[in-house]
Amino acid sequence: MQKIKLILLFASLLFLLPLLCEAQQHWMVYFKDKQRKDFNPYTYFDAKAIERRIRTGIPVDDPSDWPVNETYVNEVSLMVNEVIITSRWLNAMAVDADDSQINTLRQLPYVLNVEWIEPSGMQITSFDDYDTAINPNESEVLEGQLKTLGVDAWRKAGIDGKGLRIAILDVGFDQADKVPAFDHIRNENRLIATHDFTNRKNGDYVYYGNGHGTEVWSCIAGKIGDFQIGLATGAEFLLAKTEKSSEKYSEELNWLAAVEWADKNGADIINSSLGYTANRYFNWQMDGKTSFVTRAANIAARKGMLVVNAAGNDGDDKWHYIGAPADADSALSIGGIDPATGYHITFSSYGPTSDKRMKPNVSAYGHVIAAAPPGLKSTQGTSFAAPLVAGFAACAWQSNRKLTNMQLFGEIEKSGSLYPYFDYAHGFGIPQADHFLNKDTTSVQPTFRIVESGDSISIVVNKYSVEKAITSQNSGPKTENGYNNETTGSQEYLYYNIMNKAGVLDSYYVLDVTQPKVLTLLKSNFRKGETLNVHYAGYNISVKL
Amino acid sequence: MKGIFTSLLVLLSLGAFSQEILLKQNVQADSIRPTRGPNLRNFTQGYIGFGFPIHTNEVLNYTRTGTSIDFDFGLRYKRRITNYLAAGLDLGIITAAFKLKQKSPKTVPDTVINDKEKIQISSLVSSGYVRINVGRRGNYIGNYLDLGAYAGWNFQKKHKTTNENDEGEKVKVLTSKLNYVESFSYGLLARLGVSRYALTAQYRLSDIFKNSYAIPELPRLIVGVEVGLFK
Repeated sequence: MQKIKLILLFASLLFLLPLLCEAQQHWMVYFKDKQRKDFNPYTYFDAKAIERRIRTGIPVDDPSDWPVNETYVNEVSLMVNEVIITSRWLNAMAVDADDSQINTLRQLPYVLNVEWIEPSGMQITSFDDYDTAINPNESEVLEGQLKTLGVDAWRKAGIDGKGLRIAILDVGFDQADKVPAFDHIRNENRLIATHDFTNRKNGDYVYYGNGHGTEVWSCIAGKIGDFQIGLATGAEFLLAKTEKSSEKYSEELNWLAAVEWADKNGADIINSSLGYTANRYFNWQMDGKTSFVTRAANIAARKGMLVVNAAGNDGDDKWHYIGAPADADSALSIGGIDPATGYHITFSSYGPTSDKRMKPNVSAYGHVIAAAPPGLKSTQGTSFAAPLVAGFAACAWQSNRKLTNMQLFGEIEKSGSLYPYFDYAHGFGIPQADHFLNKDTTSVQPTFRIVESGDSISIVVNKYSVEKAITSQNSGPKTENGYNNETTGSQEYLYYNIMNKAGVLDSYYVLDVTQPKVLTLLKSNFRKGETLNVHYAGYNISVKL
Repeated sequence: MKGIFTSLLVLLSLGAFSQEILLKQNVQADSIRPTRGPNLRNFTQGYIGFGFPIHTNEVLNYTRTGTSIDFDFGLRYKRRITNYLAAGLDLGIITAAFKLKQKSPKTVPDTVINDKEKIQISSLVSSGYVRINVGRRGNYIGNYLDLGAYAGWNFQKKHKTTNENDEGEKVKVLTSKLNYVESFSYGLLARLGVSRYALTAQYRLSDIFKNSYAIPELPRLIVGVEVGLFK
């Protein structure tokens, strides 16, 4: 009898478990239609949002901004356990509901589709080394993190991101209301709005939980005395807490709600130092269209905002590649540079996307000095490379407000220290202020040449360049501490890649240069139509093999 | 691509290429979609675990709770069917040591009272299971419930007693190839796991002792923990 009971118990578990799994889950309920009704963009949007739409040629009155039908919202709200968010862009509601409720919802004539969106993990793309002291090495990093992005040139031109509004989506902004690195912003009332999307009661208090967002904000606009931590010290800010705690899991829905909120409140730039990777997705799903946040990032870009996203910190682990939404084609994905070497920092996630688009787009320091609640601290992660570039983007946009967001995206790529050379570790390299401020049309002097002899092809650098490279590596900008505060990430190394006929890189390399003849390859080892692209000290050559 | 590396190696050996490669990435090689992994089509892992026999009826409990222990290890294969469903096979060794109570009246396996006594059975066990995963995830084991059945061959059947003789010396007696112990066993299993860690339960449907010997049965339920051995 006991045996029979146990067998029955096992069988019951087998049948009940799927039911238990399905119960109390999150669903996205999409509606078939919506109406303009009383929508008035001039009262709904912040004036800045209207201005952005007019400036970038986006319709001010667009159906995707019309509110979700109130009757649908009211009816659905009564039929589910909880409404998580309502999205105008997707014409949908995210709800918590059980199977029977969802079955009822599916029967409603105005419901287009119901999609299961089980909540899962968003990973903070940074990690700390817990070193809060500013030693000489760290001082050099602090100086270098902006110098590489042209802080002197921006300062000289009087550009500090003024007039640009930047939304930061992060896990929390612990004590950011007190940290002195933001005094200049608070004193000038440039903190426009805050919102806690992890609090369903629509709280606006975001200064608790994790300090990751505080550090990220400082890399965009922080300032201690005369020392800048980020470039956009004159910009305006929107702070959105989209994660529940310092835990690495949260929901993609908060991200979607936050970008809609940022759009409504007139954001020009969105900085997101968050990303989904192996907890939820496979590498091949990083195709720019699969993940929820990736789709949301692309819609945000279509609204005229520049979305800046960290590439991720999986370069030296099994995942290896960028996460979502860094895979979105309209998101400017930022890789990390090691201040000590001037090229790719080992943990920075690699591209390309699974459909072979170039990512990351550009790079910045992945090891920075940031303002944390107790003081300045040394910290690492592409989480901090992204805000450095977000600050750069604000300055670049201020320098030319006629650019649309995607034109700015393209110009930032073109400003890269390696451009037009690229690879999937650095993108186009570190963005350069000179591209926006001093449109230098003089051609770059050759720094190397390609020597073809029979089947072999050699890369020979000019004597001057070798001496310069050796000097700079041994005694120039690289200090006795090993940090290179003059580097632009491209000056001292030879970069080369092999590109196939489809324009996709098959392989790419960074070489140290210590002798004139850097590399010899045999042409017969390449497939027809492949191209060898080489970059050294600002000069590029491409050769069909 | 193989050619590039060959030429690089040749040139390196000739001294024509003596520059240090700081970064090297082969995108083509990385583009091959893997099929083996914790949440990919095929996955094989090792496991190691232990458990304790649990008797539901104290009156009929002939083993010493806590010191009787079940130790197992082996290889597990999993075939992914969907993100939420998988099936697999285990092949492993289970060694169950039942330490017997020495209180009169004693009936397992006989009436003789010893200082210490245990029955140890080692089995080569194969099991099949169905895995139900909870939650969408990437290439991770995730949270799961395994339900399955096992069958084993009891290749080692030992009875050990320890007694003290009149001279105060310990006398250990080991009897193997026990006639009264069945050669095969079978039962049900369940595992509730989070990534590499799992709570396990096995319920033995078969008897340990042959019916003809009329020896009371030892605990059928074994509850324990297991650690998955994989990167």
